[in-house]
Amino acid sequence: MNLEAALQTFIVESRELLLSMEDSLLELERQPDDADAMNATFRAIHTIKGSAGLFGLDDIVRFTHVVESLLDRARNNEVPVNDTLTALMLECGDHIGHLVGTAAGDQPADPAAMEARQAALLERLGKFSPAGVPEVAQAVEAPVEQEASLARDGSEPVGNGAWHISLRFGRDVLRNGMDPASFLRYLSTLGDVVSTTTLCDAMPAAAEMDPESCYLGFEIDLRSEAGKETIEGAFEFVREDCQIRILPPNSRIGEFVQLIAALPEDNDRIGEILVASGAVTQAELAHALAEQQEAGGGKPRVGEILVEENVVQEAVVQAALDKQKQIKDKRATENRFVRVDAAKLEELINQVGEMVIAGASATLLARRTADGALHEAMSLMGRLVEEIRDCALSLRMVEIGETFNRFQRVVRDVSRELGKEIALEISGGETELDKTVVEKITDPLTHLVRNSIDHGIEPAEVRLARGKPANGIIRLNAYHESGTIVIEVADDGGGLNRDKILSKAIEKGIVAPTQALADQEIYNLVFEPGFSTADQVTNLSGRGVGMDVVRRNIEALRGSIDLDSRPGEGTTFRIRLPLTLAIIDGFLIEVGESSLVVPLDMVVECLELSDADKQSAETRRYLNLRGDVLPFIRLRELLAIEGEPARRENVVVVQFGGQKAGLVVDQLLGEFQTVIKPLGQVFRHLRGISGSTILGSGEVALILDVPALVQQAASRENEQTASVMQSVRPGMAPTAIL
Amino acid sequence: MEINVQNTNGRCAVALGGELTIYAAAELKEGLIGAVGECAEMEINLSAVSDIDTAGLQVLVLAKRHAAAANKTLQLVGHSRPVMELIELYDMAALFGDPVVIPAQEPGRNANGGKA
Repeated sequence: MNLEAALQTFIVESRELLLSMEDSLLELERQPDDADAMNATFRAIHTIKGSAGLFGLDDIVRFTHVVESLLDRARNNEVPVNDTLTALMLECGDHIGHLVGTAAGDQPADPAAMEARQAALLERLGKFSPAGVPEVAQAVEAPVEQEASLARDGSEPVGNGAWHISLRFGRDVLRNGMDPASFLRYLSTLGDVVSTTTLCDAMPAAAEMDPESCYLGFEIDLRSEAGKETIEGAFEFVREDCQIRILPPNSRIGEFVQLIAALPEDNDRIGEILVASGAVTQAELAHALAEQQEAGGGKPRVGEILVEENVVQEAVVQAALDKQKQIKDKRATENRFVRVDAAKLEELINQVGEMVIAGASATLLARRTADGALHEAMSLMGRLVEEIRDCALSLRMVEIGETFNRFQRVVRDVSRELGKEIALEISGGETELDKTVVEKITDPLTHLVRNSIDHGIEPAEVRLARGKPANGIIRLNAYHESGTIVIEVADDGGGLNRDKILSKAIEKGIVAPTQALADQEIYNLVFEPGFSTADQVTNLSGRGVGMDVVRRNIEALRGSIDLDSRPGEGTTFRIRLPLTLAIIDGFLIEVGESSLVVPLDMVVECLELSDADKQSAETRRYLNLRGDVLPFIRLRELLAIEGEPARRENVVVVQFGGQKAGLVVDQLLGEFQTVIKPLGQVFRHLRGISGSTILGSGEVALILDVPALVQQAASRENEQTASVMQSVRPGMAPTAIL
Repeated sequence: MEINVQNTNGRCAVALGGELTIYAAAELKEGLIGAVGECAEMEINLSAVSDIDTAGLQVLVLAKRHAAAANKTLQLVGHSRPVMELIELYDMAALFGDPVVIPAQEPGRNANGGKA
């Protein structure tokens, strides 16, 4: 195996292990007596140590060894599991992460600081050791001695260093020309026979005794360096009709346990794990399996049989069972996931995109013929292409839960730093979104969460004074809504201070003092560049580089962010992101000669623009949709498309973020699979258009940016009613859309 | 194999010689068991035994147990080198020199070894 590749795997796996360890530790913090979490933590560290050892990463081995020892003692209830311990373990986890990073070739930012941190951690770890600091210091200085760790691994004290061989010769051995004496003599060539006990119990009284039968049994202790196979080999010729049990020396238990742990993970059968470690021979296994077969019905386990027959110690079997479980777990994960190069997925999705376009073109050509069979074939093709498209896209979809879970640590650390008691509630973790989006959303989310902890949740005494529970709650939630994913970061804190925001915005010149703004608009001022209301600048947030950056990051993903706030009840940030960035179901419309695409998920309904509405539309920009006010936009005007409006115009009702708007178009052409092609840099500043696509005919169609249009329609309606001349966001000004 | 039983007032002196192997085991068993039946006390001299195998040794064990069961004394004396070696290999000296059966004698290897 390529060592470099293996090292990469080690690094990736170690990071995953550290993450899962972090989860377990946080779980432990909530429930200190959670044995599963304790074991998971221990296993993570144990595995990292073991793997690091394989690569000779001594730094990691040394440090993890100390951590592991402490965890082991905690696991055995020798050290109480409390906040001090989990906090220390979390920091150790972080430090191991740095060590792994160094192994991966990252230059440590500050090697001296790292060493100092390690020393400090070791000292704190040392405080847990029964003998105080010295023991740990020793453990650190001396390279990890495996014997030492073995002794701790629960193997029995090494008392008897000899193999124990138990022989019961078959009756016919002598008649077959073999003499037990010769086997015993041969054994003595393999090592030092410490003691032999000859058993004659099987011999009947004189009358029944057949002098040519063998009635002897032996219990032999053999001190030997030979392996089990070799010793068993001595009895090769009598194996058939003898009972032979070879029990490894107790001192070897540790060795076997370790061997088992170090076995390559290619076999998950308990017997074969034992055989591979040398604790059990093939013959013994075959025998045990046969016994198991015979037992039929309620089959005892192979491990139990082996222990019962004194072939192997229980500790060894236990180690093998652990190993088996580990392999199975790994199998399970491996079976569930295949690591694929992201570039390959990208390639696949591009190809599918091309196929969608080519398919559309073929369908168009087929329609021109009157060939019924061809139509049918094309429609089947179309359906399959659609399915392939969905499958390909779903490959990149991941659940957001994992990302959410990372915030447990953020919330814990930040709230401690600030001395606030805050719980994180997560819901909608199973909501899926594009992997690339997930990666890019983490930073903005982190900022929002930190912001909520810092500014949102009030200090405990304020909360109590307001009649709220002392413990604050941050909620992360995700759900799908009309083709977008909505991610909410909510707190149950004090809410935003409307007046403070307004005065600050005026002070900073973001809005004019005379401007009349709705509460909602005032709240959203916090996303303006250079805005920060924190009275005190903490080291968490409030440096004024927050919310505008968050908004920029999210808009770069074709998403949007807004917030709701209620005084005294809390604030909710809502991020909306497109589900995918590549291919969507579109709704094709036509204005004049131009084809346009609206994402189908956002289309609510289509209706005809009635003559009455047409007339009233001359004066106002909204129509009556079954009693509701529906602002609308004439795309012909918006996009400056020439020509007279068609005699019958249609309205496509679209929805985004809880707001509806109507788009007036000439013709509805129906559903269309749309491969989104980004617009070139030149068109970067275009608003109202989010991309382009290629139709079956080869023509280009523009994809409408529904969120922007909806907001525009809504704000224009507001302006009309409120007679506000200037829009809050310059980009949202009613003119200059294009 | 040679077996020579001399019965003097219930005290048997058995002299064994030659090869006490599986080929002679049946004969040996018959001779020894028969001798145990006829006497109250028995001494088996092994000094002329040139070879012994497990089958032969088993018969000696059988005779020993048979005698003990009948509350009779059976003693092995004059172990030849092959006998001694096999007994040592099987670590059976204690079994033959069991102090319960032979109260007058020092148990263990030394007693028998000394006589060999």
